[in-house]
Amino acid sequence: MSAPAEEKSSFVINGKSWSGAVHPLKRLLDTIREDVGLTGTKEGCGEGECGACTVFLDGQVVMSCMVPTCQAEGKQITTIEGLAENGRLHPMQESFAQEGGAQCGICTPGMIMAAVAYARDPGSAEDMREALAGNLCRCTGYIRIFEAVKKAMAK
Amino acid sequence: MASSEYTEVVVEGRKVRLRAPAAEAIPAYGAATRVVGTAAQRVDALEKVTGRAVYPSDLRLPGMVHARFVRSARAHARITSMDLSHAEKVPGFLAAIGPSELSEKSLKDMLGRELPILTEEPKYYGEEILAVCAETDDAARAAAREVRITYETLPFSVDPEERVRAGQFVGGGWTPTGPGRPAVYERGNVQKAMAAANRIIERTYRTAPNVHSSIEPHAAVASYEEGRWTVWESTQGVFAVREELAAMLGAPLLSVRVIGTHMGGGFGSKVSAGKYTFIAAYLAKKLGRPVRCVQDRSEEFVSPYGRPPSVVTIKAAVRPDGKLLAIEQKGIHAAGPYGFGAEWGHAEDMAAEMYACDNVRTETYAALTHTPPPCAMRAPGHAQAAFSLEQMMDEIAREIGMDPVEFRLKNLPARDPVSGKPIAVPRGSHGLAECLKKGGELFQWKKRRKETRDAPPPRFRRGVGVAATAWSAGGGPPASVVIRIHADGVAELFAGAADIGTGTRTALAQIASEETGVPVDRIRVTNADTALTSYCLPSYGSLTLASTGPAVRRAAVACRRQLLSIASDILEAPEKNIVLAGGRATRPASRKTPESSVPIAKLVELSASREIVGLGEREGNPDMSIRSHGAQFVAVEVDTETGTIEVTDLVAVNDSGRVINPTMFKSQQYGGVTMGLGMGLTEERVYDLETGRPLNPNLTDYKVPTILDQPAAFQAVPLEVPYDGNNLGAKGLGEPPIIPTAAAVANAVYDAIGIRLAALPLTPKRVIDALHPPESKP
Amino acid sequence: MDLLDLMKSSIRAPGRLVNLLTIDELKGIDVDTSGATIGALATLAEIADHPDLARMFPALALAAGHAATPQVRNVATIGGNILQRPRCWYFRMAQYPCLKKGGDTCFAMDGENKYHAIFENSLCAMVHPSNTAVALLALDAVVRTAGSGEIPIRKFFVTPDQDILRESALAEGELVTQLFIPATGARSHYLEFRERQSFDWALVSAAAAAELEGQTLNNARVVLGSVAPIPWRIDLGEIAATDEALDRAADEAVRGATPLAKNKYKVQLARTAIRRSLRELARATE
Repeated sequence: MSAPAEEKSSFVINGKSWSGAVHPLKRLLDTIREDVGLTGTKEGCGEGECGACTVFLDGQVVMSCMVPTCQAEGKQITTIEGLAENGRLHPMQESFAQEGGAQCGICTPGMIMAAVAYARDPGSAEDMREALAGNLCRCTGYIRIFEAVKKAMAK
Repeated sequence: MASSEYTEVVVEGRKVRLRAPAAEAIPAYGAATRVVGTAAQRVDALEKVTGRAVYPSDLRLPGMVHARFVRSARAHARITSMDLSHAEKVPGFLAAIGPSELSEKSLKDMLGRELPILTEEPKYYGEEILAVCAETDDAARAAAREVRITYETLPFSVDPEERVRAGQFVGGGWTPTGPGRPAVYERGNVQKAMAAANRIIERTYRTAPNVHSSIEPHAAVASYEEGRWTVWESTQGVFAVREELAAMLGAPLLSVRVIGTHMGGGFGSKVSAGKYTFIAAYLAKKLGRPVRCVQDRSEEFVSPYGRPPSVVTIKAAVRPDGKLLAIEQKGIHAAGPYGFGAEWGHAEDMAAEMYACDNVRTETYAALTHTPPPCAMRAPGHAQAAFSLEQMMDEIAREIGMDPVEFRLKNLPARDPVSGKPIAVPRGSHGLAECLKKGGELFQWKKRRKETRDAPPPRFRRGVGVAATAWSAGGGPPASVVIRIHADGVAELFAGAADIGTGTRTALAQIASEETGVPVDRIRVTNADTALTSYCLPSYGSLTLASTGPAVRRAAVACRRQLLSIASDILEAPEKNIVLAGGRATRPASRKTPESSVPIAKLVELSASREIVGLGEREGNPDMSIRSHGAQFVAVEVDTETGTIEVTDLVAVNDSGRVINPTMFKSQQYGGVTMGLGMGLTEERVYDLETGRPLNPNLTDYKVPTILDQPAAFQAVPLEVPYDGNNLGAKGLGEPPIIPTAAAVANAVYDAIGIRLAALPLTPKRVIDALHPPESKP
Repeated sequence: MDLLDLMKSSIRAPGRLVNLLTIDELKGIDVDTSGATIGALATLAEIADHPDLARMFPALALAAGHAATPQVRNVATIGGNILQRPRCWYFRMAQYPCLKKGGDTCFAMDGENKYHAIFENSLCAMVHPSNTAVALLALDAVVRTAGSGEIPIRKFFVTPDQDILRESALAEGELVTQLFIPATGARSHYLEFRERQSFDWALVSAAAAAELEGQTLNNARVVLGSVAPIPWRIDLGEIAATDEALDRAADEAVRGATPLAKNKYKVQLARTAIRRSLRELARATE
């Protein structure tokens, strides 16, 4: 078994440039959590089945466990830690807090990323559900999450 | 209400009656509360929505290394060789532990049955054989993959019925019997009652194996320094983990500190120390470095396991006027090869407890299958039992032409039929009756029932169904809580209880705020840390709030008295005239004097101790059967051409006494019902019978509900039937919402298509096979 | 994505991987009067949201929109989607040395086969998992490759009888570069039935296409997904757009099904899928 070959990798994460040596196939999720050191992005399944690791890659929601780090080269990444601006929470974060959208909280960062993506191009209630259909939550039954997104959109 | 005065314990074979500590009674809340009963925001909401909340799986300690298991690829085998030479060559490999090194170590279940940590004779697919440790998690996985194992395959069976036929079973439940004998409960004379009855119905129901599927996998990080372990664990119970881990390590209790502040879901699966906990702690000492042991999603399907499958044959006799005469039940459930955890599979209690019935006999067979040991999963036993019992109630009600709601109302027990204790409800009221009536009104049960009955059968058929539940949820001791109010007016609340996502931290803060007047956002809750908080049971069995909450109130009342005493002197008013709220002590205006007030911070500053400390302990419960009740009403639309069942409308009513926070109360209802819908419609761990392997150990093929699977109309209704058995008037709510859901859906499906679906989950396949039997021309 | 999944499950262990995402020539969607040219790296989200595709080839846009979840659709490419390996739990578990992995048994044949094939299943009972392949086959697409040039999609998917180790006619090292869908004026529709509304594979899917003349569907065809090792095309020719005729056609189309012990229900689903997708085309006539 050969030693993993690390290569220089660089991208912009939450507005800051980052570069480091990682294996090109290292999951972006692990690079974010271990190398960049941001653990707000969670691992629920590691195989693209739960959405807990959802981040923005060049503005689009993706599951960071299914993106090899080499495919993020030179791109813009936003994680849950990058949503607040000037110390102020994103309205979606505020709404999740107020409406009880987080229970155990492990799916919450990914869910909020999906909700923020929806908020940029909102549609019907059905579209809202569709936008959140890539994120599993085992605690809430989704009702409070749905309400939280609705409230945030009404603001 | 008086608490029971004594607990009976056994000391060196001698029965001793321990007196309950004398405590001044604090009556349950009156109608008017300021903070309790409001939808306060979660105290940890900001941490959670910003990603700052650190879960055990997030921890990265300096020098930390990673452990992974090598698991059995056979359902039953003897290991003939293990070759580690390739694994040892993986860069970063540090250590491997095999079964011989841990031959003396085991996990113990609640009844003392044992489970080896590592084994040379795996008895189920996925059983742990080795643990390997490496510098990185990737290297640990690679090393685990490189271990070469050869097996001598042994006979096995994953089918519980087959195992019972072969005599391979023990008795299930909480009073287990030895091998080859079922657990039997009996009252009255079922045989005689059945012989005399002319309306008897019998049917066999099957529930599928379910898996908790918490979004955070099982995780532990352990460090060892100077003879002490610190363990960060995703757990429902830090004290249980401490006790079990210390025992396994052969170390003094206080050499282990367990911290479980945030955890990403448990649902019963994180009640005890796991093999991963032990391995992390053991390796931390052995290697002198912090060790992280986190499971993969696929491992979540074997360790720990979840709700085992059940096969329940239930027979009931009824009088034409609706009086339930007799229930006879034979239940089989998978219990894994060791019997370990068999108590979590029993599907019997509910048939004996739920309704007034003079003649009941149940038999439980815990089949020794080559499947992972069962594990508590939200409403263990009851969720399975409700599927058979509550469909049977529907069926016999229909048999005698009675409305299933009326039928249940007619058979409600005033006393617990098993213990004989009175059911803790006010005179002339019954929690379940209230739930059924309220739910029926909101759902428009009578009207809709008639509508579906009259409707012609088009391609889509509609139906409605109801099912009910009762769950013992009084909570109780032990729970000790400390509240410290500091000179800046900030209070610290120390409680051992884990917040498993239900909002425990917040509810406790609300209770403390109610008495002390310190606003919720000025209360810091420290919980689930064995070094900082006092002992309590794990957060399971719907007991957390009803156990720890009253202790918090008692601690808060102790603080309140001290604050009032000082405030009374400063404000020159009797204590009873002073209001503690909003961070101040206030004497309202009277005819003679204007309002005056003083900050709580000031009171603390002026106190002799410069800090107000209150200690609260949980008092005992009244000697009664304390139950949380619930009823669910469901409307479905069945597409007879595709077999798809859509739940269009659902009303869930739950009585758990006093509601501390309505947002969180309803969230428990929404979440529990949703898990019930998963159990009812989509969730099934599928085994390959030829090899005994689970075929769908992932969240694509094991189908937990998504946001698109929710009913279009979903009402969660809290019902506060007065209860005065503890100083909150609150009972537990975690499990009740999941219990009746699958049965309510199945009852609605029967109403729609006239066929009783007796096996879970109710998939399109099952509906199509029922409507177009495979034998006939499709 | 599928490859990463297979690597994680130890089904594949490639020595070298090539990241295609840096090749811009493989991206983009162009639609003109002759038809649609879709780069192999066009994502399912781009396809689902493309207004011209939705107008001209609704079956494809619907199929892409039904796949997986929003996050997956943002990164999953059409090229990758049609080249997914079998969705069979025996294939997906390293412990089963099945025919598809060079072994000598199909474990699904007498095993847990409720999701398996009901057609062309005598050797291997896998089902082809791609939604978009079903639509592309109904729309008579052409697969363009760097290699042999053009492969009509009817010849692109191979049955286990033809080659047990592969699902496509691509040669070793041959790369899908584009898909071309000719504009024929045919109407099309796509639907699927599943157990769960997201994160799920279809139990049965169907793409139907036909040209319309009055009350008649001409050159009508339905392609079923998740019923066979390849997208399962049924040519119906000229057919009256009445419920009775369509029902008869549906009954006829599933007559040759050879369901296994646990998937007889899929025959009923297939019949319903054919009927409903064709009715949808007929409804469009009004």
